[in-house]
Amino acid sequence: MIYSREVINGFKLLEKAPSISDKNEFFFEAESEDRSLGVWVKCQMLIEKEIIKEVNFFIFGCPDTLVSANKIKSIIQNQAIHDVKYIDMLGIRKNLNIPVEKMGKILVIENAFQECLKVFFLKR
Amino acid sequence: MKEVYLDYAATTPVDPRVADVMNACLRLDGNFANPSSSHQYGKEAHAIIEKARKEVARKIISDPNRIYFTSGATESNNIAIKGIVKKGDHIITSLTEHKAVLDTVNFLEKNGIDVTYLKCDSKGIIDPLEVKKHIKNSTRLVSIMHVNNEIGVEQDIREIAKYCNESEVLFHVDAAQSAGKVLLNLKDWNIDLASITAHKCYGPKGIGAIYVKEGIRVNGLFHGGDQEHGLRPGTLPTHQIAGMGKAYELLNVKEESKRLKKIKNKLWEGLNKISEIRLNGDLEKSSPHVLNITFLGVEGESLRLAISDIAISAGSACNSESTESSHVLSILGLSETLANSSIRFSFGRFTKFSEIDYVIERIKFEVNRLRSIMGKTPKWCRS
Repeated sequence: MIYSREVINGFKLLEKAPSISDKNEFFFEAESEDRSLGVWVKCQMLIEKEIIKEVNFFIFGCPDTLVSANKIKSIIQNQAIHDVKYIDMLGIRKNLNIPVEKMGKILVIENAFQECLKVFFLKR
Repeated sequence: MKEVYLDYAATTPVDPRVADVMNACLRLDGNFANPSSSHQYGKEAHAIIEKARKEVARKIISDPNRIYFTSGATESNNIAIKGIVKKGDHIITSLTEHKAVLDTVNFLEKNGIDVTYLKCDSKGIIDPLEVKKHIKNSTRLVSIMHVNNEIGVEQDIREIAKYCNESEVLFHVDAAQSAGKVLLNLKDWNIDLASITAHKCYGPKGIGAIYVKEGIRVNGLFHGGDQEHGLRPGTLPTHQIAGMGKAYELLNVKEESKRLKKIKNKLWEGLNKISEIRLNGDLEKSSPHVLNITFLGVEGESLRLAISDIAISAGSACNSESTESSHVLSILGLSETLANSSIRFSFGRFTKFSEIDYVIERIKFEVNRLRSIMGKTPKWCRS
């Protein structure tokens, strides 16, 4: 398997996501998976006043998926929900030089994020 | 970053002493000539080939006159199977064989040959009694590998040979992984046909041999000359054969297997301290040079990239779109996810104990790092 320089560098820097300890009324979580692609994603967010204060992704997936999730995290953290409702997944893929065949795996991250937003909107 | 090579079951580096012998066979001042030529140059090259033949035969305890050089174990397997079986015959083999045997047998099956594929137990061991049970009047050949290339388990070929002999059925052994690592005694064990190679034991790639017991007639796959008694025509590659001979001459199975066993035990004891790992195969009934482990809950691609400074083999062949799981691990009952999270470590002559310490620490660190990133994964990721 060949990975882009961007993915290799990003993968080396990956660290354990600090668990969101304060699971209060602003805490939301959701999961998504695609077993045929071997990807599972859990998204956890702290959303206060429509702002994503904290976000965490737990992922069982390949390096491309792990690094993409980290990129998404950096994009959505501290942003207003309405500004990040639609993430440019194609842009992220291109930015990280991930082959188009991996798009399906990356989309599982977006699914988990959208599911988490759904939970937020339902509870709001 | 430091790099460690632990993929000796895939191939081994050529021993410098082997390379020197080969080099001498390529130059004008060496033995470059066609060994079939009648001039002095040819005679000298011929003598080198016969010396190599004796060395190879000596190490697998067989008759040098029954050793025929080929391009490697894959070709030897093809000759041993296709050169023996004819229409109406029945073959017995196992589901965990190397593709060089399975694909050959599949090809024959599509052309009307009756094939029985034996299952193994959960550790990959074939019960010799299963072979006996499946032998029928039309059974012409049994083909079972000695040491499995993926999980290292050693089949009881002595017992299988006994049953084949009783029933007058030919027995072929794919010994590509065993030569040089475990004891191989073709003569006393009454093996009819065996495939061996050079590149798994510090010889060059592109050369191997087939052993054919006296009295057995095998049809060659090629035509075009009398070399190797017509079984394998074509100009003999003196440098390759000399290299194989030297590689086999240097083998010290007794000493080397003892050292490899210590390396294997050290690695297993070190890695066994990591939680949720699974040994694939059998620690005892196996070759000392292979250890196959599954790291539960750690995605395989990520694990392999994380330890890319360690040359190992994965439990799957990946491309960007799909992952093809190992057929051996799949037969042992591993899901595609688990097969993907499996790693084959294999050791050899140049593996140092200090490298094993390094590998243990690297893997412990990376498995813990990835497990913390992945979190508490669902059951399907670890079963």
